[in-house]
Amino acid sequence: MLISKLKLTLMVALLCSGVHSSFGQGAAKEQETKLIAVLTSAAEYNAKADACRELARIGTADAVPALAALLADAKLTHMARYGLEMVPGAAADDALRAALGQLKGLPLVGVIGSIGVRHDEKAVAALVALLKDPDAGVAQAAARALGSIGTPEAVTGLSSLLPGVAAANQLAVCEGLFRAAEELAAKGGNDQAIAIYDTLRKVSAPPHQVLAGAWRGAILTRQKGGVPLLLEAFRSADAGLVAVAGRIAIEMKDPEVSKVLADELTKAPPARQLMLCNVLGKRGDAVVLPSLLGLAKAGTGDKAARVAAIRAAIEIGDAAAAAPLLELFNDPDAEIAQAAATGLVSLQGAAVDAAILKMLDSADPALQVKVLDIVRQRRIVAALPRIQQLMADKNEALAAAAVKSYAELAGGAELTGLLEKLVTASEAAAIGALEKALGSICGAAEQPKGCVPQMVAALAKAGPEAKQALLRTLRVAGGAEALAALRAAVDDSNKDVHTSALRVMSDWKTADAAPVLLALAKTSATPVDKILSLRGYLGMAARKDLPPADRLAICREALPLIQRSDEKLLLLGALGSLANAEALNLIVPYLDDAGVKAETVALVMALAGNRAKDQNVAIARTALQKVVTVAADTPAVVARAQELLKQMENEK
Amino acid sequence: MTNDPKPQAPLSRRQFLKRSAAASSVFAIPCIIPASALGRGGAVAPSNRIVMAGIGIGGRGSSDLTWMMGEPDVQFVAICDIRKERREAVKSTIDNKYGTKDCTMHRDIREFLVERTDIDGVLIATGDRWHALASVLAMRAGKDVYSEKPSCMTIAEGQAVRDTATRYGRVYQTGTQRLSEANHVFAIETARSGRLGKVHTAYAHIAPWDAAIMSYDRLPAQPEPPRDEVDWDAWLGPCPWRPYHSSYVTGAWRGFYDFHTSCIGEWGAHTFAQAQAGIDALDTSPVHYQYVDNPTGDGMVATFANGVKMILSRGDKYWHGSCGERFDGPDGWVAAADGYSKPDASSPALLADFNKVIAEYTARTQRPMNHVRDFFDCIKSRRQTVANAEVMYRSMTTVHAANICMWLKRDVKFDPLKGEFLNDVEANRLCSRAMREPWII
Repeated sequence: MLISKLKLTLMVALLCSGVHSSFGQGAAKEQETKLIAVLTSAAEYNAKADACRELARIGTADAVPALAALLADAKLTHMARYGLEMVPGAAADDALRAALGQLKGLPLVGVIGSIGVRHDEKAVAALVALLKDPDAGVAQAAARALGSIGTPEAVTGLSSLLPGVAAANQLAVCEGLFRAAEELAAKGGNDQAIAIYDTLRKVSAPPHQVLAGAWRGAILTRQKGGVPLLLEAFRSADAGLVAVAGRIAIEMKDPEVSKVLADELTKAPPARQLMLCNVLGKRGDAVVLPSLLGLAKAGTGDKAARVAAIRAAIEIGDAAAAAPLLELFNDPDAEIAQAAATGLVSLQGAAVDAAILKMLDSADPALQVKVLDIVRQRRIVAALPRIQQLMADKNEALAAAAVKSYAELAGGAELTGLLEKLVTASEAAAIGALEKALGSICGAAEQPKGCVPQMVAALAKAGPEAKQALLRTLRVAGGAEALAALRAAVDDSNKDVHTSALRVMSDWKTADAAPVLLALAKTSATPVDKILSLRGYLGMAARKDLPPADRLAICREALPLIQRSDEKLLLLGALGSLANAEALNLIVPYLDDAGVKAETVALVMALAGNRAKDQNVAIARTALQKVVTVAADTPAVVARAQELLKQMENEK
Repeated sequence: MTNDPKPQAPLSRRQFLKRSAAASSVFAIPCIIPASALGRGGAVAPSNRIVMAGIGIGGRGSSDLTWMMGEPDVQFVAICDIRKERREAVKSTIDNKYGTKDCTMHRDIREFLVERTDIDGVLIATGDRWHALASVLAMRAGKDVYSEKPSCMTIAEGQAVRDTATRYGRVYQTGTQRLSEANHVFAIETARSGRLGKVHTAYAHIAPWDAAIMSYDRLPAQPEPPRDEVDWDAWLGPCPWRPYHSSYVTGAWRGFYDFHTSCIGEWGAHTFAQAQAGIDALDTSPVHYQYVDNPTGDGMVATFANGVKMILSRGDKYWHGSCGERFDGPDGWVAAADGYSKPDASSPALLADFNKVIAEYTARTQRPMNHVRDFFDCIKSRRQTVANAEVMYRSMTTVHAANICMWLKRDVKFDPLKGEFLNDVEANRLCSRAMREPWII
């Protein structure tokens, strides 16, 4: 018997191994026959469940009797439906319907569910009868299934039950009616659907979600005719219903709705104005802009409603809002002005740009500063000539704002002009803004190195402050020409320029600076310069984009130059990141260096601990043995080192 | 069954509104409130406090829970989970956050939803098999829903979630949080705005592990634990019954056909919504899926009715990092993925407008760059979330149709209007699965 079951299981596994790949009709029929045989055999649960699953995909009317026979099997009833639910044709419907009178409890609940999924209209009478089943699960399943079928008879059965329905079943009956209304509306039965929604609107003590759904259906299904109901909901004293109306209004596509709501806007109290503004913004009809902006400009109105009106106008996103927003931008109330500014940043179109540019000619410097910020955020490049003029304005705040905007908007075409300004600038703030602009231009350029020749030329004309800004920008551009200019600047007679050049050099982005830094570390005149250069050089050793061999070579070159603990730690960090045997060899001597002993011990322990099995055993052992000696004052470390040594022994 | 006596719950927003309306014949409190007026910085009045509960909170759910509890107008009051260990752990997290012992624990979701009428919304972070069912049950009970992804196991489940949210006017957000992250929003808006020219191809990441073909095996049976410890029948929910094994419960359910949506669903649920957003296809699905002869679906071309292509990609050819999307047009390309400091683009000039694009997006849509905040704002305003039920249904339909294409090992055609495959009975029979009683929608 056991062997027989195993054989069956194996057979089903083989049958189902091709699950989901397509095969020909003949092969499918052959497979179906075999699967049916499994169902009618003494196979165990898994085999039969797998057969049901596969029959869901390929089963025909021929499989229905075998599947239906399992509907009463408490363990397999679901898998029987799993198959039946997908089998096309009346045979499966007939079988499920026939089972209604034979099953109870959960198997019956399942069958009812499958009948609903299959929309079996012939089952309506039987399902209506089950609406009053004492088993709440059965009654609720019947209600939902009737709704899915959605015939007038199903609706009658559900509607007649609704007034006195048991509290536990109320939601299921409502769900059924909702489904039926949707089915009917989809088939053109709008009047019948509306009748259902109106019935649901009048349910006694309805759950809030039922009320929301009923009003939604009642209004949307009426289409244009639903507007009076929408207004009724909007004007309701029930805040929940007002919220429902808001959502429905956003869904209604008819532009007339926007006009009606805009009209309502003028009559509503401030709290409701707030809500109406938000709805109008989401609807997106530009036709309501005059109403919204009229409310926004009403200086005596409620401020929250005014801000909401501005936000709604921004959401609509029509350029027609630009002029009113520009007026509001100058509103004495900061919150209103800020809301308008947000809109001026986001409204799109050349006309909006033009309107904003006109405001740059205002006689009020404070307003000009604010407009410059909008120009900057909108990235109106066409404003650059006018901004350039304002950079020379005698009002310092305005001139500074102009420099800041210019710096952010300038592109490659402005490189020459920017460099001219930089070499003549004297204020630190202006130099900083121009440096930022230069950095942006170089960073955003398709070929950053293309900026270098002009910058190098400017270096010759620049004063010390501007020269330092240029040196820092050369790092953004990169390349051999920039590096050469930097190296030349290291020899500058001005101490600040010299130090800046050295600092930029030590932070260079590419490895071609390494030989220069090494040479400087060896030959610089002062200890500070040597240290700066050495640190930059060691920084190259930690770069993971360089091959490990190159990084190790840098470490070896640096070794004789290192004297201070700070640089030793940099070296150890670089070696640690290499994490190989050669690096470990270079690390071990530092175990004897009192200044960095603790860090070296930690590093050796980490490298030895993370060492791949069977790799570098000898080197790691030597290192750990030394740790045992030098870290005698730290028993935990010694113990761990000895543990690692023991593990290595075991690797043998 | 409820484990604890019915709690003295705080006055919820819904109850407050109801009482306010009952107490006054004048208009009470507007339900549509701009996000900026939500009082995020300080104490929150009952009318603005959102009462939440967790359903099935594990690893990802814990992150969501922490994220949500950081919002000042949100208060978690209950946890519903079939695992006692999880119930207790989440209760501890919630109670520690609020310095109370008020969080109640529930095992049976049906009883929980009937009893806790004070709860506005639920965070659903169960295993994939339960996402849609729990969402439908919760929304039918009047709750708003934040559901983790993948949010449905079949096309039919996705339709049921979408229909239920619409039917009852519920706010629903699927956990595709990248739709609310600046880098992804920038990529999407750059593609939509025409700055790349007319976008002809979108790319979306699928999981760099697992396969499209699923397992039908079962793990060897183990003795079922007591129901209060692990309610195994409820854990299975709508899926076919199988014997208990502890590995399923602790996360090893991935890869099984009954519980998982393959490597395509695993990551497609993270990325397809962004890819479809950038080509304005969040209200539709591809009409043609081209079978690719590999185990994962890598390289599958899914074509929309307007000819725009969406290519499923498993590796890092189009981005570096995970959960990436990319858009190609005649004038350039843009891509984003997790871990980017800024999106990638064909030209640095495209990135210069990053701040402007994000500012314009937030002003136009009034949406925050914070996915859970968008959900909570929408609970108050009753507007649709950025990743609403329609978005979930459409993007997950793409997932499921691509899976079906792989399972059938041939091209398939899909009708997004009807929500079914074109003249293809074989494919349509894979669009739904009979749900196990009593877990029937």
